[in-house]
This record gives sequence, C-alpha cells and structure tokens, in this order.
Amino acid sequence: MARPHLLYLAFFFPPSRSSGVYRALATVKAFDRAGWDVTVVTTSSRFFEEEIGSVDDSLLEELPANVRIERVDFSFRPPELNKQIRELGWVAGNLPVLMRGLRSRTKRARDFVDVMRGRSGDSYEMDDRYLAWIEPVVARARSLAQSNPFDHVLATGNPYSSFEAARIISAVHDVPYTIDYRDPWAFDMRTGGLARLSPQTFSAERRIIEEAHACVHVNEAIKEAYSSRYSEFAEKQHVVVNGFDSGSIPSVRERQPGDGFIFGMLGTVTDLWPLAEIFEAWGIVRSSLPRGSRLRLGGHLGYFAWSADALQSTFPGRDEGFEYVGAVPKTEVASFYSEVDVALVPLFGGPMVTAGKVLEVAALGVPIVCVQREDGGGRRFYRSHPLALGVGPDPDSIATAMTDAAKLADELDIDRRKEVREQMGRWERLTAMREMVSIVESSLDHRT
Amino acid sequence: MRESQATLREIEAYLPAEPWVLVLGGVTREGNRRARRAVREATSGGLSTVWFDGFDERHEDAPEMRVDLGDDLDYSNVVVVCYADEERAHWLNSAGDALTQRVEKGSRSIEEKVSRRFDVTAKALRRLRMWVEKLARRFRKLVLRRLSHIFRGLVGWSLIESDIETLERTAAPPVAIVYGDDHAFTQAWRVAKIWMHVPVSTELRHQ
Repeated sequence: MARPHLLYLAFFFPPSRSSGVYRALATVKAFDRAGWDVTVVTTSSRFFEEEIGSVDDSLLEELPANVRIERVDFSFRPPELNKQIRELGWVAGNLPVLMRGLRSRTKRARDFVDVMRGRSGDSYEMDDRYLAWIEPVVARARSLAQSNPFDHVLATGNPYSSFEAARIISAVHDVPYTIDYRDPWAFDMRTGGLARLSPQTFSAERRIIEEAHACVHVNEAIKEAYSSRYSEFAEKQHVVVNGFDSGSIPSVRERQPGDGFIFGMLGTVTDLWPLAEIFEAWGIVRSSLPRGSRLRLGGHLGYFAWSADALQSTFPGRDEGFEYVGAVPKTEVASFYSEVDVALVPLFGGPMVTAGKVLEVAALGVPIVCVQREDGGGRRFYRSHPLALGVGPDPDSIATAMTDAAKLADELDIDRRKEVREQMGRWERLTAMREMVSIVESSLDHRT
Repeated sequence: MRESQATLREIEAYLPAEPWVLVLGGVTREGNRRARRAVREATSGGLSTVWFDGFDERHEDAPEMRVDLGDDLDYSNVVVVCYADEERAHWLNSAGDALTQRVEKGSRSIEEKVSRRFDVTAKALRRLRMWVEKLARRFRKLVLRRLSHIFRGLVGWSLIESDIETLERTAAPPVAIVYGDDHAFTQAWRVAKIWMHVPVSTELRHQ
C-alpha cells in the first residue's frame, strides 16, 4: 500500500528558531515515523535571516532525510527593496530615477492587480500580517499535487494565514485539512478574553473551523475556550501537548551535600517574564544558601535581534551570583540542565499560557519553582507534579519557594528522581505527537 | 578646510590605506548628508575613506536651507573627490542654458527678418518672440530637465569611472560601499559589479 502523503504548512520552520519551530519539527518527525511522506511548505531562510533575525542552522540537521521542504518566499518589504543591488537589471541600475517615477505612477494599478491576484493584505478579509503568503502557497500546492497528490493538509498557526491556505487547498484538491493552533487566534492568551480582531476575522475563523477535519490545541484551557465559543464544532477540538525532547534531558546526577545550588532558567527570554520579581527574590534568598550558589539564565534574549539590549540591561551582575550564559543551542540544552539543582519556570498570563519548557523541566526530575499567576496554565499542569512548587509573581513568595525547593533538592535521592522521570515519560514530544498522527489518520478512515 | 580634497583624475596619486570605505555622495543635499554621516562613522572607526562628492550648495535650488559644511569632519584620513563643477558643465546639464541663449538670440534675429520682409506691427513681433521663448521654456522644463534628471546618475558615473578604474587597479577592495542618493545609486550599481563581495548600503553602520 502506498504511503500516505501529508502536506504540512508551517511558516515558521528551521532554520527559524522561533518558539513554534520545535513543535513543527516534532510534528514532521512523528509523521515520518508513522510511515507518512511529508512535504513541508515554509518560507525562505532569507526571511528568517534578514527580516526576523532569529536563525539556528543546527535545527536543520534534525530534519528526517525523507522530508521534502518547499520554501515559498515572503517579505514585509516592497519587492523592489528585496532585490540585491547586484541583481538589478540595466535600466533599474542605471536609471533609478526613471524606475522610481514609473513605480509611483503605476502604484494604483499594481495594487489593484496584487489584490486580485491574492498577493495583498487586502485580498482577504482577515487580520493577519502574512496574508500575502496564502496565494503563493496555494499555487505551490497545486504544482506539488500534480506530481504527488496529498492525502491530508495540516497547517500550523500562527500565522493564521496558513489556516486559510489549508482551507483553499483542501477545497481545490478535495482533501481534508487539520489546523494546529500553537496559540489561540480568537483569544488573548494573557487575559483569556476575546482577542481584538475584526468581525470578518472571527467569521473567517468560524469558516475555517467549520470546514476543518479537526482543530488541535496545546492545552486543555484553550481547547475548552474553543469548544465553548464554537460549541457546534466542540467534537473537532483536540489537545496535543508540546512535549519535551528526550535529547534535552541529561542523565541523572547525584548532588553532593553542601555544594552550592544552581537555580536554572532556560528559554527565550522576553519582557513578559516576571524576571524583576525573580531577581529580587534571588537577592533575598541568596545569603541563606551555601557558598557558590548561582542563579543561571540561558536562552536567546527576545525573538528578534533588536530586543536583546533592553532585556540585558535589567540583569543583575555576576558579583550578585547571577550568570547569563547566552543562547543555548538545542544540542547543548541537556548540558545546561545537567548542572541545575532547582529549575525555575517563569511564565506570564493565565490558563491558556503553557510553554514547551514546562514539560521539558517536568521531565528533569529536579525540584521546580513555577512563577505564574495562580490560574496560569503552567501552574495548572504542575499541580500533578510531585516536585513542583507554584507561586505567583511576588518576590517574597518566590524566595520562600526557592528556599523550599533547595531543601527538597538536598533531600532527593537518585531513585526518587528516576521515578519522577519515568512518570513524566508520557510527555516526551514524539510520544505526545502520536496523538496528532492519530487525529489526522482518522480522516483517512473516514474516506475509505 | 579639505586639505585632502582632490579634483577628478588626481586620484591616481592616492592610494587609500587599508581598510577603506568608498562613499558615493551623489549630487543632492540628502545624499551629501548621508555621505557625511558615513565618512564620520568610517573615520571614527579608523577607516580610510574615498568620498566622491558631486554636491555643490551653490547650485542647489533652496539656498535658504544651507547646510553647514564646516570643518567638523576629520579629513586627515579622507580624500574627497569633487566632481560638482564637471557634472554641472556636462552637455546634458548645460543644454538648457544653451537652448535659452540660442532662443533668445534666434528670436531676435527672426524678429528682424520678419520686420524687414513683412508689414507687421511691433506689437505682433513682440508677441511672436514671446511665443518662441515660451515654447523653448516649456521644452526645457518638460524635456531637457527631465532627461537631465533621469540621466544624472549615468553622467556622474561617466565622470568618476576612470578614477574608480584606477582604484580597482591599485587598491584592495573597500570594506564597504555607501551611496547617498538615487543619482549615486547608478554609481553604486556599477561599482558593486566591480567589487562583487563588498556590501553596498546607504548607511555604514548597518553593514
């Protein structure tokens, strides 16, 4: 029997290092393992390098060999600015004034053509900055289908333009599609209320969900919100958690009594993290810890190259027992965690906010201090974790939790840590992603 | 001021110390402003600079907006190649002035010839002259000025081409090429084809 073929629309994909990339990578691996041919449609490396500025080439090495990658270029810049000066033709190079005049005179006509061709943000009645990506993706899918028809379209968002592209491709090629929400579109993750979107955008989302085979969310809170808002499609809503990569978990290390504690935080640092409160708590608790104790932070500073300086200016100095070790490549994550005695998980927002690092840290088998609002998604997840302490973003509470976690780390024996790790094994990313494969494969059952 | 200023074709005597930056300032005030910024950043970073400067404030249309071109730049490591006068004297730019002069002269001679051969009033003759001059003015504005504007980049390139060839022969490639305006863009496009791997931009600090 021929292998089924998945068309996977993932705008953010390696070499991008944005937060959603790890889920996309795991999705591809899971389908590859399950015996699917996978074609990924993503955007160009140029966009990630020049316009986003966040790239990790090592992620490309993790791609399964069988997976086909199709890159459909996208840019926020006007097309003429994207051309390198050396690529310009004789007229554009020698007579730039003439070209500029022609461009400005023909702008209205060109805008009209772009809208009609689907290459403009005005071509679709939705709020999304990536709408111009839809039509080229649909065109690429059409040419791909001629040589190798696909059996299912899976789209991951954001950007949610991928969902609309999946809907159109599905209609044109008569194949079912599934949408994978890495974040909720209709809801504001921080408040849990409806996002500020136009009525047309809500209509577009309803249309997309109505025609989809299934909708996948990263946690129960988001699934519940969608089931409630689109109650007629509640049975289509599923949860596939992000999971952790087994390669990111180091072997268990026995702690020597009396050693200083390493409190570790890892992830893409943003100004939404309650870092100021954690730094203040560190100042409170540090003097009561053994000599050599450290608060260690690793990860990129922001998702964009320009956000680093502002964040770094808020960090304490090394003489205050704080270390920022810089960005930690995926291959070095296990090494970072191998020295951590207590893991800190700073999170923002409410029930809808969980993060990949929540599950990763859960699998370490070390005490955890999760700093988030009481109803936060991370704290809800850790309620069933035997070594996790949840606290709100308040320096005194964090300091108390850090002290308790340090005591717990001293008391933990190696067998107990192994036991906790085994319990958490079900959240391993590829294990968790099997659920995604099952959801998609159920569409094949419907068709046969 | 500008002790290191060179005129066209004097560049042969100059060999920029490595590493160096090529600044193509263009002919407009905006281009000049960008060029000055680039030169300032290059010199503060310890880079030599060769600056092709086609701007001349005497020829700008808005003298009340004069920019201070004083001595705030350190020229010790900069050679400025000025080509504004040559650029101004190029036939494409001077064609308008020549046309005006010719029309003025020609219309007077037509006026004389017509008055000798035909019985027309002085008023009608003046009208004829005004009409010829008006046509010439419109032609100058609609055709010659536009042609001059469109081809100004190419004219600029034709003036600095031999100097660039000299630099290509004698010096190592620059570390950066900066251009100031649309007219300098033509020069940058040409130069980019000579030094294929040198970054080209409107600002030095973003390279």
